[in-house]
Amino acid sequence: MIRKLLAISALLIMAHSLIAQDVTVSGKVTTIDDPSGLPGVNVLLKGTTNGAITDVNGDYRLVVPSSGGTLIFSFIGYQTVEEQIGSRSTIDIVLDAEVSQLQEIVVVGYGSKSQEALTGSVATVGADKLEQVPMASFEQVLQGNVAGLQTVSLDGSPGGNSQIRIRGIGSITASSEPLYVVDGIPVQSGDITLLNSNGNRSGNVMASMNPNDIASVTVLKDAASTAIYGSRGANGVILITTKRGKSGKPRVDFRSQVGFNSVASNSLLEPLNADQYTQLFLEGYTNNPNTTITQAEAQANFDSRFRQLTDADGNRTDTNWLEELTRTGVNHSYDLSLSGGTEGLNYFFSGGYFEQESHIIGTDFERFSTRMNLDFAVNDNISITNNLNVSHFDQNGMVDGTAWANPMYNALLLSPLIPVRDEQGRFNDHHKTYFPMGGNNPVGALSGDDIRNTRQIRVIDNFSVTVKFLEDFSFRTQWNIDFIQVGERQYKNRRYGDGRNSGGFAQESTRLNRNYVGTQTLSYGKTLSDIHNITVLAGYEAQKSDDKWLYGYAENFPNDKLRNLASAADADDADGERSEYSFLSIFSRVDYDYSGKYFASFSIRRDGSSRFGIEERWGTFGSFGLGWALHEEGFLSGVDAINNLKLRSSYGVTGNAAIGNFPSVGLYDYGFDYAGEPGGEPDQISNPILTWEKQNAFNLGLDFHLFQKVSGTVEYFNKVSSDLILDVPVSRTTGFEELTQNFGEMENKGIEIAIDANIVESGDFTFDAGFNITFLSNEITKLQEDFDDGTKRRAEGMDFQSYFMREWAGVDADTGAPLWYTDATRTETTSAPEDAEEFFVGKSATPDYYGGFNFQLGYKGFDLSAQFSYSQGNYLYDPSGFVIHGDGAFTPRGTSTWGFENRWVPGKTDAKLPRHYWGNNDDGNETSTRYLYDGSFTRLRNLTLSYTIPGDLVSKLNMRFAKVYLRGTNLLTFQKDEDAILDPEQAINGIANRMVPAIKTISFGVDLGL
Amino acid sequence: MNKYRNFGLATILVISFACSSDFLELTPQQEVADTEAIQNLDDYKSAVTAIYNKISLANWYGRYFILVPDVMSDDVKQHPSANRARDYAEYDALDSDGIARELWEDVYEAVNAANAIINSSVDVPDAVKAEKDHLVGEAYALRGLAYFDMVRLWGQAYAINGGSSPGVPIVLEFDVSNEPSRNTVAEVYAQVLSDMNMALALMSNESRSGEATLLSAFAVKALLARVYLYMEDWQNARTMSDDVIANGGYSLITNANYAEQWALGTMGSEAIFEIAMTTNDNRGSDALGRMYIVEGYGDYLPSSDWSNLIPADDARRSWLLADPNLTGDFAPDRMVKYPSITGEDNTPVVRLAEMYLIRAEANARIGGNDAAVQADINTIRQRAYPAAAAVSAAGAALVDEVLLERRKELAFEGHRLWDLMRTGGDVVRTNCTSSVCTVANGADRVVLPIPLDEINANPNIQQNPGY
Repeated sequence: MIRKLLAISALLIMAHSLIAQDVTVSGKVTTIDDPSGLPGVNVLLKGTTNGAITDVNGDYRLVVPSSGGTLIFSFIGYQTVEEQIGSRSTIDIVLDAEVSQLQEIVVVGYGSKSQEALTGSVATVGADKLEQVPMASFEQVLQGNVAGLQTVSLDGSPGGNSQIRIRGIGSITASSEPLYVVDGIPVQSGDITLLNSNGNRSGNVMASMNPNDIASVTVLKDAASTAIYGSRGANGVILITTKRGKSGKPRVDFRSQVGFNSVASNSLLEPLNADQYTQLFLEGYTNNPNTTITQAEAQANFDSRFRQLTDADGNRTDTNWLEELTRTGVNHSYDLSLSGGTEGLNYFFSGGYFEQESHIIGTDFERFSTRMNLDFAVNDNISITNNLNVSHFDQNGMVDGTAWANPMYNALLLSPLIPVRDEQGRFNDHHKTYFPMGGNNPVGALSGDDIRNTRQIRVIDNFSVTVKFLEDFSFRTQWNIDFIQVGERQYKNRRYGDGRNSGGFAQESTRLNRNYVGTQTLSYGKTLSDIHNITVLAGYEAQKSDDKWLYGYAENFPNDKLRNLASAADADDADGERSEYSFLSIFSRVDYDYSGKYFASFSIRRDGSSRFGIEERWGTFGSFGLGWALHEEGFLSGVDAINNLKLRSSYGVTGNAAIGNFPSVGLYDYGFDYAGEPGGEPDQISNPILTWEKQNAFNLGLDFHLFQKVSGTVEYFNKVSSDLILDVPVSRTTGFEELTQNFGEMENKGIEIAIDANIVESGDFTFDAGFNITFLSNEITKLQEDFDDGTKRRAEGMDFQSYFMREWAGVDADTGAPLWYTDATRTETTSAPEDAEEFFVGKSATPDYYGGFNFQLGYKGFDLSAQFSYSQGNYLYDPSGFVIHGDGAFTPRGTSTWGFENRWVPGKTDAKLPRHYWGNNDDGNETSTRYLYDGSFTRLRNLTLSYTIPGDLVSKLNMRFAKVYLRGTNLLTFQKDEDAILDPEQAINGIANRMVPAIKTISFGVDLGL
Repeated sequence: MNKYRNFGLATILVISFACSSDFLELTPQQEVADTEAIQNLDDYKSAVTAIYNKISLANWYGRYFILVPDVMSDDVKQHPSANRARDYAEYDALDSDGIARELWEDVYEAVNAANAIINSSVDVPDAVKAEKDHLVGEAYALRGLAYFDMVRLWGQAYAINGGSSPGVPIVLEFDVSNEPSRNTVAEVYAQVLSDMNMALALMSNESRSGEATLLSAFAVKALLARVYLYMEDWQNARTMSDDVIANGGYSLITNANYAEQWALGTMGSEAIFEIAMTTNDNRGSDALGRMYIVEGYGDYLPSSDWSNLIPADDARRSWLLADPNLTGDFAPDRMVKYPSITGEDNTPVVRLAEMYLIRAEANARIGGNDAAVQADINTIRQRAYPAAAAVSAAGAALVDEVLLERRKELAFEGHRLWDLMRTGGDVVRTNCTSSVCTVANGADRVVLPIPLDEINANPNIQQNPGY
């Protein structure tokens, strides 16, 4: 890369040395709408008074020095273009119409609207934020950039899944994930892996998309914008629009980046060293209050256990397992696109390669993707579009949670007295005879002794034909496919870990997910008497999705070189399933505005789905939105400070159909076999009225733009989710435990504020800043009966994510015993957990507020931008503390240095952890607020310094632009709770699962345009 | 003109893209709609098979239905490591106890599955009519067995007050909103008789596979013999057991083979009905035998109260295995009647030896045929211990002889507690490792708690006293 830059620089210097002479430049100025030529355009040689005006055909002719210079093309209502002359004698220009903020086109469901006509709540993130992000998938970019939206990464491994909640959690048992729509097609999103899923944390089908291909991501938040998606609108909608060609010469964009990955959080648990572990081991015996073991006996126990006190090279064994697992991972990203338009054909072609290694060995992601978006105007009335995206990725990951094989877990538990390699140089497994945990060797497992691999191939294609007729009408027929094939594989070696007792085992699965959508829309647009603008959309959509998977398991391998099912002696298990669902929908939207001052929109959708009960198969959803452009009113007409002031409000009903495929059907399930005969039994109660969950949402928003400098939006929302699906207990004498019913209710309300300001814009210097914040409050308003879900209790009147557990009262300074409060009054403490009541501890995984802020500083070609996101008042629970900080309950597993330093020892009065002894039965590690931490944090998501090489330099090389940049991703993290020694970015439910913590990337890139 | 043609074309396109209404009528592919689950002979088979699977689960005949009453009796004592059925050995289970909850759920799931078969009205071709009847008969019999098992677990013995104490709710058809109250013990026994007699009318004498792991008409008669015995209907108990002994085609395992037979995992020619625990069916680490054997959990031990009854050369001594690691009250033996380390011992439900003992008890109660009683006791006693003296007792004393032989022969098969209760006996543990060493006949806690989940969901159900 650096060599390329040097070559370019050399060329630039050579170009400057040429001697000046006068030459003639001519050309034609056109617009996208009118290729016949635009008369009256002012053409000026920059820095001179030398100029010309285009003639009636749009042609111009101008004499300029042969040393070149820059031509400025300006015409009222169009964007001014500066063009380097270079060595050209003919320069044709296409002018784009000038677009004000209000006239910007925003993508909405089944169409687009101007910003000023919006009555709903819509936010857009543009390509500039998405291009060359050093991440496999785009979702993380939304964090902190869109008010009301909460995004977390569930797994820091490259290609891991994300969770998105738009204005809170809207469902108790069904999905709260938004609907993803790519170029108008509802697509599969989330995790569909079978083997490597880690509870839907580690797979993400959307990682198929090259973020460089995305022109914009639009987030639909309120009912006015989502009701057109009916029964799938309640969780909000993410609209992804991909890039398209524009008419004009072919444009080549090349982007290249190299990056280096390390761990983002500077607050992670560290394992003990050999001396610390030895001390802890001996103390664990001598300090046991229940037995009397002497120092000599403890030492004898130590000596008989640890037999590898020297490593394979004969050095003293002192393994830092975390360090052994950690590396500086490397990113590579190359992206090439070609776009343009000619003779009615606009095209966008791209090919991308993205590779990322995380900071944990053996975990990586590699993607190849291509896209071809074509628009062909057959004639004035008929046009054809086809978008094709093909991608493949290959992902290697690790297991999560408290599985022995989780490297982020057993790095802390494995003794540092165990060497990584044995005397033969192989990854060590001797400790399986003297240390629990199955001889797991995380370094070996991730270095190729084991396999945990996911491969996905995805093809998305949409084909459409649009026919305009009767002047105001247009009919569009669109046909889409989304095919995903996921192949997964695991191998566990024969020597150590999970495969040790079965001679090694292999699991493989393959899944094919197919999604077909056909959409027919008819639209009509008319302006009457110059003031009544009306557009009508009516459509019909059919969608069918099917899914099948196959799984095989085999064990007892002849050696660790052969890892396919066929090589194993025992093929023990085969499994497979098929499932499908369908939707039929009719929908319509009517938009009306009166003179650009008063706006109204009405949308309705009627959805039928195979998922809904036979008696409730069809549902009708809809919304109504109003907008009032106050700045257009006479009473504000003289106020120059107000560029835009618009009040808008909406109300509507949407649904949540993510309720499983056959929740309403009475079912017999099979596999209940006996004495060699297959058996089937009643498995699910028929409930023909079981159907979608409902949401009634109100939105009130104010958009403003003041002094040409400050723009923003303030919004209030109130969403009431009802008919929430709950398993309501029934008498067991029915043969069932519960009946799934539409029963519960929940409310999410809050305020969003987003402000952007152009603080300084003087000459070469610009300074912009933006800020957004969302205050969210959630409450369960109707429930059959309270129920516990892990560390939380769902109860009427409470936040959905309220923790319900014992309250930790610290450590008894005299004895080192664990203490809890006996009840919610927090007046008495006890060292017996059975005497400590569980209660609502007043903490929740839901943040009080969250959002982001950003700065951008520009000087000449230099640009420095920073973007932060933050979350305040959400609490995280660390279930692995049960073992890692188990006070010796799990003999003789290690702990963290933090646990070591803060444990109680006689005389220590500020201990955070109780006394440590092996076989600890004080139950100090029972679920309590001991492992509950304040998860408030602020993270510097992105800091980029870029330099755009001046136009006159690049044009001499016939380039459109050239930019170099240095980018830091997740550079800084600020956490509030000093005892929360974990990455603060965890699942929405606040449960920290010891996945790969977030990645910090420092990357260097070059963008070139030809 | 052209414009209008386009418009017409577009309209046609929109209409032609409309899908037919069955587009939304999709069906699951791993499951079958309950309305279509029982339509032919194969469906009957798979539905009946699933009930057998249900009763073979670890909560039921796989383990707890046998283990729990035994740990409550005087034949079994617990090892200090015991934690699984500990609350029953200690008589301090809570209404939230998992064993009671899961058993209750499993049994009613089996009842519901049987109801679905019994209440289906599918016509099958005449050629397979008899097969269908047999299958429906099995469903009746299994429902009867489920109610018989339940009424013993949750209700006091029939004999205690003529069955007037609370039994369990009788549910004969599916209704999701049903919140039934408890029927009396007598009503439940009446249902058991009704179901089993209906089964007899429908079933053929051979089981479908010819094996004892599926029910045959004779197996139902054997179960009925026991039901009548519990109801103190001595005449019918005698009729049924006599019929099984005379006509069932079963034969007792000989003394020479008796000890080894238990190691084979099946009672062979003596088996009338036993639960299959084959390689595919076994409960693995949850197996009944693994609760006793040292290679399993080893939680439970044979009490000396029982082992002292067994003479040195009695073949039933082979169910004991000395373990030098057991000391004090826990010494000296392990119980190895179900010795398979992998849990592949079929669970005996009813076997021929019991038929002799039922006939003997019935005859003894009826009186007037001491020779027949003595002969039946001798058959069982001398099969295990050929040197044993012939029974010399006569008259009423013969009842005690039969009950003694029952205790010796059917130990660890889940009979002892209920034999004590139906005959007015108390649980008296002299070799006692529990904090509870005597339990009076008919005490509150000899029955299980109605599970808390049922109490919460069903306002009409009444908890057993003492819980």
